[in-house]
Amino acid sequence: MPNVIEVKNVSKSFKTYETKKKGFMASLRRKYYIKKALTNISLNIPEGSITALIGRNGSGKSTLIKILTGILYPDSGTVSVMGLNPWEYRMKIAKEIGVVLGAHGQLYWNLPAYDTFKFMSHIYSIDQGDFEKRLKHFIGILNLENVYKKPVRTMSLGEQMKCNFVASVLHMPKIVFLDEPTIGVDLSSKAALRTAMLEMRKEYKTTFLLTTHIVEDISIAESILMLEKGKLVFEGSRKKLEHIFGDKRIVELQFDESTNPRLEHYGKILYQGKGYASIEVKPGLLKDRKFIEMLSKDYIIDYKVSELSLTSILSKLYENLDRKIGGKRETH
Amino acid sequence: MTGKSAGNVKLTSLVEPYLAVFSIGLKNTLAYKTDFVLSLFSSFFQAGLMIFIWTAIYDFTNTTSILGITLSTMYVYFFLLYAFRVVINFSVPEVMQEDIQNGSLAVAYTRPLKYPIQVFMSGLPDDALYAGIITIPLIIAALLLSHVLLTPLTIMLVISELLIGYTIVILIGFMIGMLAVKLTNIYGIMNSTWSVILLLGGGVLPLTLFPNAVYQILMLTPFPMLLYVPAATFLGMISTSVAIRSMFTGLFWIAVLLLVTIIAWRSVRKKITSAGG
Repeated sequence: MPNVIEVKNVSKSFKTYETKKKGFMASLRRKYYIKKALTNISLNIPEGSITALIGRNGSGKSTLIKILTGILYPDSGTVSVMGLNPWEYRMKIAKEIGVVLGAHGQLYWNLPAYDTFKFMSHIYSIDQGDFEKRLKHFIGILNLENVYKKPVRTMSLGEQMKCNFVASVLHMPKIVFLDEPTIGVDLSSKAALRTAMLEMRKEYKTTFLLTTHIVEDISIAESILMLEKGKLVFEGSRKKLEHIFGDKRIVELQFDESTNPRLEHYGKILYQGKGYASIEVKPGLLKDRKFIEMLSKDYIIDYKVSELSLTSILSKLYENLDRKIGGKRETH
Repeated sequence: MTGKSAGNVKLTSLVEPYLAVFSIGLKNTLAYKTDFVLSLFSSFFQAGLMIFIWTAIYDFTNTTSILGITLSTMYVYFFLLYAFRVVINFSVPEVMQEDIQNGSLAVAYTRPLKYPIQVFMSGLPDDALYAGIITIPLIIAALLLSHVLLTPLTIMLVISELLIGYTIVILIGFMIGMLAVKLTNIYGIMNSTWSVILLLGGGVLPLTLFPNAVYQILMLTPFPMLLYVPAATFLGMISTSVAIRSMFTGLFWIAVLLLVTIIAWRSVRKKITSAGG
């Protein structure tokens, strides 16, 4: 698949300030400094892919999305979105992309969401028939039948987010940028949003780039980009991420309460209590003779072996970053 | 498709999105009808205050005319000023400041619309409503009160002057609004600029009451076109030739302000940051 987004050596800094001391006089004397939001970012995103852009708060995810959508100018580097420079051809690109900014809604607060949808149909010149058909489709998938004609101010946060999504995709964009699209959305609605994304990708080869902290959102992405302090510290498939950071197994043991087995030499003890323990081990240990012998002892009532969850893998990734801040970029 | 109809289609597709901005802005304005109706009368009190002050001045000085302006002409002058001021307001910098402060600018930029036109079109519904509900009826009332006989030429002049004044205030507003990109909060600058515009535009007293040298200098600036020139043309306080000369001065300032705004916007655009992540 050809790349629809190509980013080369993009950097962006902001001037910001902090007040270090307390008190009124200190508030008048601000210390300004330059914060590097992005440093030398290079990446490619192929057409029809779903890419999760992850990273901790303030890592530069939103800044990158805003540069890709032509909202912000980078200080240096080049960006190509569908072959065009997004800040020089913003208007042209805006017709072909959809953007959901979780922190800033598309919807008019005092009006029903339907008015915003109609507004979108005019600014994107959507044919009336197509508009009705697409609206019906998205309203159905996202379960908004009883919601979209109510004023936005009376909606829950989750309902607003779903309506924001609809407003941003009614023109069937080729690329959809979603900046934390599932803030405040309940579990079933999150699943519905993911279904909508997967359907659009299947039907129209829509490319999705989403920033998120939600593991289930990340799980639908075949590609993951991770930013840390403005640097791209991981770029690769989810499988690679699991391979690198998930090469561990969790062994849960249930044993006779009268015993207290020594487990520390098998791996990292995650928990050990009366009659129960869980340890993190290397996969090879499962073939180790001594370990198998231990599992067959009489005091072992039952055991379970499982892979690391994506949540655990991400936690490990963050732990790893904490150990070597600004760590070397791993590309795969 | 003929060249003409293809051109029409292109023009429609260019204009339609901005008409949609106007239309949804209108719905938004009318969402809170009570607030809208109350806001219609807020500047009425300011006009009333000016009439009260000038009545006191005429009474205190025991005069029937100040530099040829009678009290009844002064009443109609401020009556007209109120009618014009509800349309000629400073909404553009306020919208821009809000967009920058709450991050809505980022959303506006994701749409295939030119931001400056978007700002203008989103403020236009308010102005159009005020014009329809207040300005036009008040101008008719002023006509009846002042017994002024308006010729078609005077009507044309007043309408043209108001449109020029409206364009000038939009452009000044946009230039002030651009400061929000750097300063984020521009309430103080907005208020002081608006006060200066009102004073120099004849919103506090008719410009003929300034010393002649000051009056002559002021007539070379863009400000009299906002309020004084249309009101003075209406009341016959200035001749047709002065009115026409003022219009050309206004058009000259529109060209200057437009050029400066375009150049400044190209530079400011690159410095935009979006608040709130």
